[in-house]
Amino acid sequence: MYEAAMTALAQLATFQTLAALVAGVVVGLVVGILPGLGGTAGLALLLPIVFGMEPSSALAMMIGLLAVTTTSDTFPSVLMGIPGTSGSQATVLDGFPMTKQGEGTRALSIAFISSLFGGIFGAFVLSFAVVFATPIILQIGFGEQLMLVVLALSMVGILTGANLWKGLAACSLGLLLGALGSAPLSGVQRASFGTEYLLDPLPLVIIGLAMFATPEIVDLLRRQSTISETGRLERTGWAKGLRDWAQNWWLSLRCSMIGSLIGALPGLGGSVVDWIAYGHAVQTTKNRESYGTGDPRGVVAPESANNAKEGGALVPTLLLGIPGSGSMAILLGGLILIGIEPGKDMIDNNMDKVYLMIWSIAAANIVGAGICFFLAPQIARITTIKYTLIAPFMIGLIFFAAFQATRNWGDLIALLLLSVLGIYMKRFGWSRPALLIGFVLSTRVESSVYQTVTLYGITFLERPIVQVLLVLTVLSIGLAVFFKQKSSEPVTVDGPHSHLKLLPQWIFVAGVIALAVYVFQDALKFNSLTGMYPLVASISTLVFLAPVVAVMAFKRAPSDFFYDAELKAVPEGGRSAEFYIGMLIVMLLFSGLVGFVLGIAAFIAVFLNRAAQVTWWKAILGGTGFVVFLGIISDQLTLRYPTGLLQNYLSLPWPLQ
Amino acid sequence: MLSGVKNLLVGAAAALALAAPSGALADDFTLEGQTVTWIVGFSEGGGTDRLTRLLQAKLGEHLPGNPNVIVLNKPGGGSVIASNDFHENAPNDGTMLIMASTSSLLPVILGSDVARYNPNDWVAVTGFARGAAMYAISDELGLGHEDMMADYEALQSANIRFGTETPLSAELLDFVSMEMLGVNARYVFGLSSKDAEAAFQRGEMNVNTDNVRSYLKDYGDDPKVNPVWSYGVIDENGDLQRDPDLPDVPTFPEFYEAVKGEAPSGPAYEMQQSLMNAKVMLSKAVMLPPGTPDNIRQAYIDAMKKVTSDPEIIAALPREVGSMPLNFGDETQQAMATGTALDPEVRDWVAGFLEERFNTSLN
Repeated sequence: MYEAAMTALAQLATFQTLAALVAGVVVGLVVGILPGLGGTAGLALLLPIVFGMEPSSALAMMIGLLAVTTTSDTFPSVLMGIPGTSGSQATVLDGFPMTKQGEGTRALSIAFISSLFGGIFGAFVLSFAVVFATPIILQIGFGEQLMLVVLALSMVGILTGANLWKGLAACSLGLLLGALGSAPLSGVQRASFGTEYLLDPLPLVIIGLAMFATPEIVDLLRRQSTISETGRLERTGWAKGLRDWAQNWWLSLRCSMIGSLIGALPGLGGSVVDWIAYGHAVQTTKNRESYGTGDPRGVVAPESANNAKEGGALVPTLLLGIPGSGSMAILLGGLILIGIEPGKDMIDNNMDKVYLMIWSIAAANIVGAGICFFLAPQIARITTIKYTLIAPFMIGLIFFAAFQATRNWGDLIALLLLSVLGIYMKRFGWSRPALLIGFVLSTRVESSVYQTVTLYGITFLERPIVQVLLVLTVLSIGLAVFFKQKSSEPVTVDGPHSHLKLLPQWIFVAGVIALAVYVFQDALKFNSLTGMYPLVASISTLVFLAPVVAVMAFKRAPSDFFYDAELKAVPEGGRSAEFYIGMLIVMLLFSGLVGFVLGIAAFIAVFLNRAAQVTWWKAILGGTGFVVFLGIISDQLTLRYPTGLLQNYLSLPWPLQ
Repeated sequence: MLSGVKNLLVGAAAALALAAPSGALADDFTLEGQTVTWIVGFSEGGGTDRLTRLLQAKLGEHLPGNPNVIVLNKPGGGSVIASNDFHENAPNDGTMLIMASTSSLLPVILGSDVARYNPNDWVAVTGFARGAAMYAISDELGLGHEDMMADYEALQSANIRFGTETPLSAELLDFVSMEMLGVNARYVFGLSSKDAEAAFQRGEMNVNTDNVRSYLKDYGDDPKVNPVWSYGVIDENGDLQRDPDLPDVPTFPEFYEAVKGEAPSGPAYEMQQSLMNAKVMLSKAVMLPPGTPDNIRQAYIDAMKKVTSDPEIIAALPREVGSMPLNFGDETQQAMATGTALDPEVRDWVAGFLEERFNTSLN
């Protein structure tokens, strides 16, 4: 073992292999920063390049890419409130508030050092796990997977927001959104609103952007001139961030363990790791009130876990030849390409290659975090720029990112509609993290309940690991019960919790009820394989909504059931949220006519001129520049733009297709 | 990626070429300076995507004019959305092609109305055949006799657990086969092939299906896991032969005949053979859009022949290229036609079977 490790280190230490590693890291950082793209898309691009490469270099390049996407994805999460990949959604909760308070550099510093630590910890775990983990992984059957899902779902308890019932209803709404589109157990199309787009379930990327990105953009446009409320960026943030991490090293270590464990076990998948780590942090630390308002621990936890996950995810991929995620599936393909067959053979005969991967993870994390630290001071300055200058580009970027989910116009329409949901959830105090957890777990809930019951009935509870997980779940729920989140606003008649002016909240609740009723009546058409899950999800949504409706109907005093951010003082002269929604609709309609490229260019130019008072020629330059930028990115990453009616009749030159 | 500037220039040149008025395609067909888009109807990382990206690395070299070939993933509905779009909108000038797979053919075979495409209108370039087998944990089911009859009796009384994706996925081949034999299994749905494989490794499932090469790699030297039958391969005369990688394992019709005393026939068997054709003979197929001219088709066939005989490609594709025959052009077209043309009687049978066994309707 020691010998293989040393051989591998010698292989990595050649110039060629290191250069390949750095190239992989650079690509990984780029796809991590771009919202909507992650390791899977990046690795798919490398596959043809890897073909024919020398095996050590190919390995270093692929691992280099995979290891760092969750390092750089922190930039958009922390600085703009836009999750860079699904691995850093939870980072937004505390990272972005820190940025708003002018502490963007501090938050980034915490995130990078946590990522670095987590990544190296993951490599460390992998180096031991390859020797003995097989029997453990084989113990995790359907029953254990079900309990893992339930445990993950229990994390909602601490993310419900000020009102428990609204939080649970939001989580149910997430589970309900997961019921739209084809059923995982039967492939039958359900609750599709008659669209072909919903042949498949909604893409997670789009839900993530709609819940966090658009509502933040609209809110910032309305309330602030720069992302940093002070308009300044603290200079000493770097050292402070490192100290924050050092004070929380024990939390970082625990979350790294959680990350690598969940990465290695079947059943949960990578996109929920950050939420579990965040939940764990809230459950097990003191002074929890500050979570969600810019608490450094809320950055340490998810960032440690999401990098540690990669080392863990390699365990089943290498030991059993079974990939735990899309990116691992491509990696597996890449390994076969260069003549390495994962599985028992690999452990017996190619141990040096296994160690090469382990060293590569560690090295890539160091190089990746290093590059991020180096670039961050420049990138962080974006938080001090007038927001109206940034917003149109952000809007262009998130719609472009959403389109890469399935390359269908439906992606853009789904993003718009769900963004409207996200904007009003924010306004009326409904927990968007709760919805996201529900959505991420929806397919898992549906399949694992059915599979466990079909195979074991109730007897799965007799399995020892199931019982341990059950105890953990009870503990997790218990901690949630004792943790009472308080609203940051006073519950008064003239504040946002007022019981007066409830009409907008009634309209919102009616909309959610209408969706639940639609899914409910649609589910009645199907057999239990297709219809059972939507039935349960819609009923639970309605059940959790019932107390909310009752209080709205009968209570005549301010309460944390009521919330409307519009009742707070809004800065003079700001436009309404509806204005910005309308603006997005117009942008999409115009893009439908002339294609996304021309549509977004025109949108950026008009926005810059009207909202940011930039001179026309500069505004047009901005629009054109963005299109050239997208053109280059798309060319390099083989992405596509939504086309409009115009493109059906005319073939336009690059980059206007 | 590494040759960014070059790519950019090629892209710009391609755009200019596209914008220029294009005359009728001459015999000296060339794709010089153009970008060829290869559509994959699945996400990055699946089997179809991996195969396509590998072939992509070499295809451009062998096409006239050495175009830049890119792979574009358009996932949705098990490739139905991409196939619909391809059928209706793809330009037939050789700049767009699609990698079809078994799941692109299934909705057509079953007559599902979400599929608005007919793959028989597409112009076939190459089909990849890939052997398939059903295998089991022998001890648990009481298998492993010399005599097929004894195995059959064991199967009938065994508690079979079989994990699959949905009632309408490619494993329908296995469901129909077991139904013909009167063998009952507990089907557990919602498992992708890798999930089902993992559950089989854990012993929670005791029967699984996979391509033969993967089976051999994973369990070839494991005495506890053995194939029950293979689905065989169709030779150039149209006859079913044993899988070349499993010469000692009976094909399903052999097994059937040995235990039932007569050769299989009837609508169930026709359905079984049609599904076998889609799963084994057309496991993956490279197709051009409807109405693609012959000279373009020929250029692609020539290129694919060169790509698939490239030693590097052969070495990298131990599961796709090897003992199973590759088919090209008319052969592929023929396999497609045979596999997707079904008597209404056969379709009625399968509709009834799905309804009765899984309470699932086709539309």
